[in-house]
Amino acid sequence: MSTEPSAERGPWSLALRRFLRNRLAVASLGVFLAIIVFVLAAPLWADHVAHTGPNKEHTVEQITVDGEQKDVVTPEGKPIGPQWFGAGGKFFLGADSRLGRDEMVRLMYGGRTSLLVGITAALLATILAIVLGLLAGYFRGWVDSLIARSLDVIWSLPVFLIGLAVGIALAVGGLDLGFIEVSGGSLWIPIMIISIFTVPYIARPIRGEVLSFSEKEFVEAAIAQGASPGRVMFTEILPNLASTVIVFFTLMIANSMLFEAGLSFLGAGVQPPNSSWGTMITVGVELLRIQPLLAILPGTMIMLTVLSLNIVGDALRDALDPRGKARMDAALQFEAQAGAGGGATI
Amino acid sequence: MKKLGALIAVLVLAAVAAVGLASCGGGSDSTSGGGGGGQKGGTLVGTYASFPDYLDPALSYTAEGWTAMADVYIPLLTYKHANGVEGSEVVPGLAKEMPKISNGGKTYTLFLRPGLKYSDGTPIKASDFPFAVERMIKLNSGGSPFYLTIEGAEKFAETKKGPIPGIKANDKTGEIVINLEGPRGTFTNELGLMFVAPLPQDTPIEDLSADPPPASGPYMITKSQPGKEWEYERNPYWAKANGKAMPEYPEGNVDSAKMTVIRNPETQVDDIEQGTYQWMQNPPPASRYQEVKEKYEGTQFRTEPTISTYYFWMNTQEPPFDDVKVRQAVNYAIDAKALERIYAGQIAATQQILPPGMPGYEKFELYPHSLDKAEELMKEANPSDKDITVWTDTESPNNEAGEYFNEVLKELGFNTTLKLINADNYFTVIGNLSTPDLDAGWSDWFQDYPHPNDFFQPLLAGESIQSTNNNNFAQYDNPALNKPLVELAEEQLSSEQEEGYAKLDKETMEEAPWAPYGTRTLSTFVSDEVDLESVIFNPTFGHYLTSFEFK
Repeated sequence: MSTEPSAERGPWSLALRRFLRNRLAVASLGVFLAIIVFVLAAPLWADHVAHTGPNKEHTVEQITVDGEQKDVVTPEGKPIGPQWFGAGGKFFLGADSRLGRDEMVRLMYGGRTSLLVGITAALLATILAIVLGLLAGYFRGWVDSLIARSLDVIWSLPVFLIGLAVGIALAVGGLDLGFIEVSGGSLWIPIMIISIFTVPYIARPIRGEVLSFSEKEFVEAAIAQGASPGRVMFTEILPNLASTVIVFFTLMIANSMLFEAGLSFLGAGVQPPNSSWGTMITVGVELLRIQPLLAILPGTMIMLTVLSLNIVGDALRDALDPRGKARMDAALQFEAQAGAGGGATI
Repeated sequence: MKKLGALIAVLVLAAVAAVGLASCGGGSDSTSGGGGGGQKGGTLVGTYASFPDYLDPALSYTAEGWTAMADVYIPLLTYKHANGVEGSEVVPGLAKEMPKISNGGKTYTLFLRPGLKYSDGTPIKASDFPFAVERMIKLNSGGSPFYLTIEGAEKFAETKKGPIPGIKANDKTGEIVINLEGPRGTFTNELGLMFVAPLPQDTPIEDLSADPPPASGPYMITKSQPGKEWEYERNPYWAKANGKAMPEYPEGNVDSAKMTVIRNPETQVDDIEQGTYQWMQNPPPASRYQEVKEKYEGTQFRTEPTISTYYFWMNTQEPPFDDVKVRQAVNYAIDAKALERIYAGQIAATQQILPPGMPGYEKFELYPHSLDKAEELMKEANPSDKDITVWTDTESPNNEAGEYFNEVLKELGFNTTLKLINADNYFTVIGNLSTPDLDAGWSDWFQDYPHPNDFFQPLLAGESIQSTNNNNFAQYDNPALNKPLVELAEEQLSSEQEEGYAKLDKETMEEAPWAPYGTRTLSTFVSDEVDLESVIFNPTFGHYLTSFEFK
């Protein structure tokens, strides 16, 4: 009676089944979703448990812990350690620095910032990479040469160092191009830096895939029917890139979050007093000897998020396209050959 | 043979002991830092948390710069190589003796010591002094306002042309005559500042931080990589010429020194503990301060009280801080007790321009911390422009003080943007009036000389507002301050004048161009190889390189 499942189910349903069979990936997705819930709950925790905001300072205040009055910051400048629920949830993880801000609240809000920067930068990089990859792979010739070589140039740069220099310069002066104005402390600065410098990591494999797809029969058929280049690119080729894009997007979120953490740690990313997990590590490092948790906690959150996203990304690749690895290798090889041939025609 | 061998051994031991004793006797008697039981020679490896603003004597106006160059460029007069109050005494530098003041306090006559040479062998001439003054003014140095009372200096500052007629120098006799427009009680102190240290007349009129000019002091800077490191060696002409001409000036103990910028003060402390570096110019970070103090006080660590004011400035020329009520509100909102904790007990709360220890200081408390009062004043002022930028540097805990200030302003209803600038060039950035959005920020001031004028004229007098190297960050220009300031500066310091400055302190704080919050305690922290007792911390120049001595 039973029929072959693959005959009834669509490719997305099959992919989901394959993904769900990967227990590590499911657990990682659970971890990632838990992190999302954790950071989304920030206002609830801040308003109803900690009764403070992420940037609110309590330097000279005292709290009652199990009936005992304690300084949030001692006169010698030592911030209070984790109080768990001893003070009704206030300073659950202690104070972040001599400014006496609630570490738990900052960790939650900092996670929002880190994820926001990571996801937005990955999204922008992916969109840009799709457009560039489609144009380069479809039109080939000088368009391909121009785009491919530009990507090569970005790829050959010491991306992090340049990102750091640009980040510091823009953090001071902001960005004013006439048509676009971004203030120095804006989150758009790290987002733009990360997205621009990470485009080649997605655009190159997409270009390879497009080069490969553009020789397929369904594309030739569409062209023969008089479809415009835009239509061919966006309605024929782009849907076939979905699995590649989804996989890379997931991995790029993790990459972007690491990039942001690095930039923020060095003062070129998210600007104080806003918190991100990167800036929290910077603050925590100074107090590493007396309150090591202040650096360890945001570091652990970054590690958990990046690790879970990487595992999910890998599992998605396996699930969406079991032959993806072989095809991806072929695409990269194809692209390498195209590159060797001056990026013109194959 | 056995007896001969024993005799030789005794002679060798005696010779070694004699050499050892001779080396222990080095150093000048003029130092008041104690010690003197150490050895000469060696290389001092030190560290700064930030590179000095400039390694050019005409331009530098930070503690880092003055400490770095104190024993490299000697002015006509200088400050005694001593700790504490004794170190505030002005003594002859390149000049033979203290100036003869005549013409009702308007004419200063000095004589250059004969036979002096720069580290490149060029003879030091009397005419190098007017050259140094002109070079400093041409470079728009932050120190210029001190010398604009010299006849014709103000016009020179405008035109940047021609010699300054108020300075006459005779290279043959070494005589230098300085005529002032009016008497100036602080001028002797100001002649002891590095801004006007003589330099060879072929010195380029540009910032020479990367290639500092020839030295007149016992050490010369041989290599400089701005932002990174610089090195010293003994000035070869010190032993041959200058040291003989000015025997009371210490010749120094170490043969060379290398200073490296390590931006993480935690690492600096670790390096000192491990002996990788032998001295750190800045104090240990707030997070390690108590630990270092408890562990090393008396052996490798010493606190150094200073005459200083830490404050937040507000731009009085632009909204919203052009309204005195807004500035007063900020003063009420600042809680100096919170800042004491942020500085881990390294500052003592104060709310005045003049710090304790400065003549004219009389304690008052105009703005006891009250958020209610602050909000009330804000309501009355109701400023229309609430978008402001807050500036601070990246060095801890000044960065946290800036964050604290930013949050206070937010609580008062402002929309703030916090800008953190690298400590190397923070003052250059906020001292440049073309920098946009100079609304409010953090700053500090350590005494240049023990006279209250030093806390008013460069920082709050209208004439001190300049396009670059500006120190009047509040851009405060109030005739009610400018006029009495000129009058008070005309006379030598007396109890009557001290009262005048105390009054000025209170009147200025009623106008609240600043929100002062504390006076700082600095420190000396050295590795166990260095003799702590010998190290001098001068109230004007900080740690003297000549005072470092290995045990």
